[in-house]
Amino acid sequence: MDPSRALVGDLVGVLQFVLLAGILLRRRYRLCWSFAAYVLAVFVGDRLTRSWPVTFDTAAWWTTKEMLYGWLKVVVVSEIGLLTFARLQRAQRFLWRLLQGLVLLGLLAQLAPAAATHGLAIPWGSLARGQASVLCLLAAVVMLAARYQVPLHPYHRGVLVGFALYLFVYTSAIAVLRELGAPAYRIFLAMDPTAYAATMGLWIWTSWRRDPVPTPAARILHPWAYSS
Amino acid sequence: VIEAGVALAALALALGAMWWRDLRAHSGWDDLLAPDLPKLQEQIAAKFSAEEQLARWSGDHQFLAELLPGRLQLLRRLVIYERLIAGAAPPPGRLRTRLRVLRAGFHILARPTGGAEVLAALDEEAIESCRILALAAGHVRGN
Repeated sequence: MDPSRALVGDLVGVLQFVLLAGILLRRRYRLCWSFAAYVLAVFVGDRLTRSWPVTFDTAAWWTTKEMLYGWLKVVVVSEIGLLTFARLQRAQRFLWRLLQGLVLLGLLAQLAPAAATHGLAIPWGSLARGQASVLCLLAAVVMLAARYQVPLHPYHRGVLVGFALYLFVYTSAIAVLRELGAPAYRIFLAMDPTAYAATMGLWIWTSWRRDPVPTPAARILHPWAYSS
Repeated sequence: VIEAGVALAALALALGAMWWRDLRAHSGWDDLLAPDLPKLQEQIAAKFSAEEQLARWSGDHQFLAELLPGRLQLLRRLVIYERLIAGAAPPPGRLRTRLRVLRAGFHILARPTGGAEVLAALDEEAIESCRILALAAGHVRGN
């Protein structure tokens, strides 16, 4: 493994550890179980790649773990959406149908013909479509919450903002890589870990900070957050 | 590049919706779910409980049989009134208007006496106003 890549991997590993510690010690896992599972999966996946590069630093492993992370992101966004509308049953049912429809559209988008990927072993086009689909799901949840004037929990808000910014950079980096081929790999390697480290910083702040005092409406609309 | 474009659009929509929500600062839910609401709910529950006990002690079967339909009618009237008023409000403020009307309705329901009459009067007045508006609209269209 390239020494600079290993160094960046170790730095991101430290950030992931601090984030996991925040989620556990501040008991944030109660607010979104799937996000805790996602962070743990990313931490384990990255550690495997870093510790046994011969076995795990391969295109096949990278593609598999990215697909797993993609589905975990879908679960995180869905869980946050369903928790946000926990007390509004009709809106929750509508959101659930909307999410199902968008996931179906995302799967259908995978069937659309993709441009040639310059002989690369990783299906970049498919990955980019997957990330863009997750971002569309996220936008749907946020827009529906705005439509119903339902507040997002501060922790959920931090998680979603982090995902939104990172997924945009990640999708753009994949698009650049797909268009330019192997010569753009250095750009991808610079963009992706930097954006991910910045996202980790935001999530660490979100998980460690003290929540603002909730409004009476938030206490009633988010009983899962304030019940002991 | 299409994927990057879709991602940019989704990012703009998500951040835009959050920013728009922050600009408004005040949620319509805060009107309805204000600190006085639990107290109001307790008052309504106490009032309904007192009515039930009175019905049980009186042994008046007809009163007992009419108690639940009467309450349902009361709540139905509140919902009709709330929908009529919200229907007249512009779409962005519709939810807030509905919640404000419901909150006012809960205040009326919590009164020891007269809740049913006030709601019935409001209901009839709202229907009458709608009838007049519909007539006026027809008259304007006819001209």
